[in-house]
Amino acid sequence: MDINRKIVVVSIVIIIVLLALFGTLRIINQKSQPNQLIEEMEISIYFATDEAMYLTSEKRVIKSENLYQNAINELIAGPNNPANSKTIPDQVELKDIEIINGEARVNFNRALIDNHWGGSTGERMTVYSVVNTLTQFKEIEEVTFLIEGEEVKTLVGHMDLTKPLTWNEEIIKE
Amino acid sequence: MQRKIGLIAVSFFIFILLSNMIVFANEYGKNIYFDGEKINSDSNIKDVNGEIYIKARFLSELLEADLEWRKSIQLLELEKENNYAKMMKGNPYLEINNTTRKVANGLVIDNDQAYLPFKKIVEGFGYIFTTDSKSIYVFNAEIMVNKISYDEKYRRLKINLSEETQVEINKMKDNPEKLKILLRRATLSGDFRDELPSEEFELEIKRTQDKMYLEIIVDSTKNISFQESESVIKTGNDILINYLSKLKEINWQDNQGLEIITDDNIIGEAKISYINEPKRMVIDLPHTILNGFKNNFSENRWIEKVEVSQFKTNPMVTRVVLELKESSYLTQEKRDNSIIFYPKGQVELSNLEYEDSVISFESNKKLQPKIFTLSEPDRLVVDLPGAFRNYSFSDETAEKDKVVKKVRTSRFNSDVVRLVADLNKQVNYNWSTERNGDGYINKIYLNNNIRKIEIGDQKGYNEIRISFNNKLDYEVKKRESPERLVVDVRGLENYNRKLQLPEEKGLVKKVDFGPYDKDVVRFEFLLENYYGHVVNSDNKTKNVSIKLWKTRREKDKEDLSDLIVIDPGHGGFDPGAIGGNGLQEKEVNLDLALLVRDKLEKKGHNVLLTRKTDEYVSLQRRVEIARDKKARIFVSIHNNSSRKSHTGGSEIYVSQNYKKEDMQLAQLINDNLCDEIKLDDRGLKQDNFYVIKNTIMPSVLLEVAFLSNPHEEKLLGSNVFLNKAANGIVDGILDFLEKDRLEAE
Repeated sequence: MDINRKIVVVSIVIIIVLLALFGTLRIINQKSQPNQLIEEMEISIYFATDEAMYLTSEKRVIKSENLYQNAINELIAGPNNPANSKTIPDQVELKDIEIINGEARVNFNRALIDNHWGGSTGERMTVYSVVNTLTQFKEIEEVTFLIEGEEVKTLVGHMDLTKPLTWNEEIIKE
Repeated sequence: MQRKIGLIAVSFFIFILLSNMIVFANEYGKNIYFDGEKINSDSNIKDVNGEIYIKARFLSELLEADLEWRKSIQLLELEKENNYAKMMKGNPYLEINNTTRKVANGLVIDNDQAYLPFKKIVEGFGYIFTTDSKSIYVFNAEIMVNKISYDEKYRRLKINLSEETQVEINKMKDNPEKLKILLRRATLSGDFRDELPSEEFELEIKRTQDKMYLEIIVDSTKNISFQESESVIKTGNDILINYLSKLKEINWQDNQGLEIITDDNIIGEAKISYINEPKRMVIDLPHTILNGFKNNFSENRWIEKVEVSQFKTNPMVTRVVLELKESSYLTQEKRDNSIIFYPKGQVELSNLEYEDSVISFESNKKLQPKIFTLSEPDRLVVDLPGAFRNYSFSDETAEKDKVVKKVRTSRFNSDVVRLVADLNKQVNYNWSTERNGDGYINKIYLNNNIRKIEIGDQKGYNEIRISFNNKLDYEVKKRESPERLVVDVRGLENYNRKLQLPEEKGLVKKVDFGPYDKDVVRFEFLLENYYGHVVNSDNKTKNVSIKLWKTRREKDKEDLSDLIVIDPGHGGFDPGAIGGNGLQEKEVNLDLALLVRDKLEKKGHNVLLTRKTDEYVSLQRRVEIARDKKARIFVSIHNNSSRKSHTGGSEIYVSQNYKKEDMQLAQLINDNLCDEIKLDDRGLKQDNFYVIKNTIMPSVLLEVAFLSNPHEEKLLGSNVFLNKAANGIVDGILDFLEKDRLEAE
């Protein structure tokens, strides 16, 4: 009985301390970004179809804070439906995304090129899965790929990435 | 760790040094004209790596802007009214009026003086910046041209400006259809919109030599009467220019009738109505002014008198009233710039029929029908002016189907016979008329329908043509045993099944068509022999055209002068895709390209490879080789890869802005290649690939097979397979060159 009470008291103290800490963090957070609540929203993530002929979407509910980063991280994590296929190679990390006048500048690490399996089809699926996933958001009209912060001419030798890319409707099959 | 930080610090220091060194730039030799005034620029201007820089202090005086240097954060600010620009030392960005852009040379500091990128700043502040070989012109364009549009209702060109300005409008001497509009101190605003219909107008915009006027030249298919004060109206910030037609003459000649002549074909839209008691015809000429026309009318046995008035002024309408004698009846015929009314016989209508969504009838003269639809209930109405019905043009047709309930006809008024089709639902429609002996056969096609199937016989080829009344999607496929070509068309509905089929001609033995799949109608052309074909029509079309070669390629007749560039993808440090057993794409691509080259050279063709060995060649270099050597075609050879190993097949790409010849080359290579290697045909695709996007000649990128598929990797490693693939590619290329030869003949 006594031990139980002790456990209860300790737990309450821990909870209070955690809540206080969390509260302070929230306040700091709110100071830097006023009027912004942490919400969730449903978005589409585009993966390759089984035969890599098209892209198809899977729905995800993600936090709207750092929305674009979260969306790309879902894309990196890969599809839930086993019929769909991953478009981003292993060990790829998203370094950051910057939005300037509707242009998203997506910065990946070198693994996106180094670990890529190649091929025109492979390259298209990778590039347009990123482009279509990002351009679904109304703030983003076009996408430029950066590798380790540098602009690249191509990913694996077919596509012209020197100009920003826009939403590709033809490649989608739902 | 410490060493790393040290390294970063050193490189940062070197970077700062380097970025400051660029400053030792040339003095600049050009004169500056600011708002038309020559300014002594002396040492205030610099050329920094090809970009014109101006001393910040000097620029602030010129623009009467405030300049501030925040030393603590090394930030320079230039501010005037609502405009501002900010640049930081050592930072390649220029922030100007809420947008940030990269400036290659950054903020330049020399001898304790800051220099700014001249053009970027003044343009950001709303000035116009132009240069020629001697001078720089900067001036404040106060007037913004926001929009040029055209209002069909008033036949009026509208130029919307930010405020009023001095305007001068003249017809060009060399071409009276061109209009020159000079606007003082004007410039195009950032979101200027050209909303003129492009099929009727062409715009050319430049600056006058002294740069003070914006010169807009409008080239249109319309005539404009400028001497008339009604033509140009200035209201507030808009300049309105009316395209008006002018009534020129009214003539009577006993053997011809009455002719009303204007200087514009807008007369074709004249509204003509009949009124009784007294019996008269009222002709309203839209957008037409009445200003000293020649009246050559004399009373005759049909027309009592002619009255002309300026009936309306906004929009402008001229009204001509013909007062007719009791028994007279006039038919009219519209010509380019005139209408003729003549007292001759009416148009006789005969043989009305309806079948499979086609209403057809004959007429002894050409008709000018007015066709429109009405709803609730859905009807199609065809008014036939100047016509009468004979016994075979019945009041009602008996046929009905899921499109049409009934077709009925009646006399609508003394001039017009009205035909009404009662419909089950709304439809598309098209009118067509064709000569038939002495008269005409008129058809109204409902739905998406087939108009004609024809076989042409030209030197070297037979042409298959299928025409529809609307643009439709189609696919052309080659089938064997027996040899035949099939065309699958989407979107035909309740179509004309009893269409007359063409006779056997050339290679085409028999033609047939019918429903094939849901929403697909298949046209089948049975062939005596097959030597290759090329689709000559666009993707979605009213007129499908396919050329069939009549003979096998004749070796001695081939044009061997064309250069064929073959581009083996990847190479050197870029292996391309790598198969599960280690086969590298760069090797396969090169092996295959060498085989293709050898086979083409054996036939006497001129071939160039973008790489002959395992070396890295940039995408840009590959494009330059084809361009510099003026290649006729460019074929890039690749092999594919995908994440999943069961994915397989071949595909071929053209660029997103492909031309007809790109598609023809792709189709010919794809047909031949798939025939040879018999892998899955993943089809013709379009994408933004560097080498095919940037080459100007017909160009394609092939993905022969998937290295990521173990079966296909094995095939790609075998000489037998590579030989087959090379044969397919070579045949496709030769078929394309053969098409060139036939077209040249």
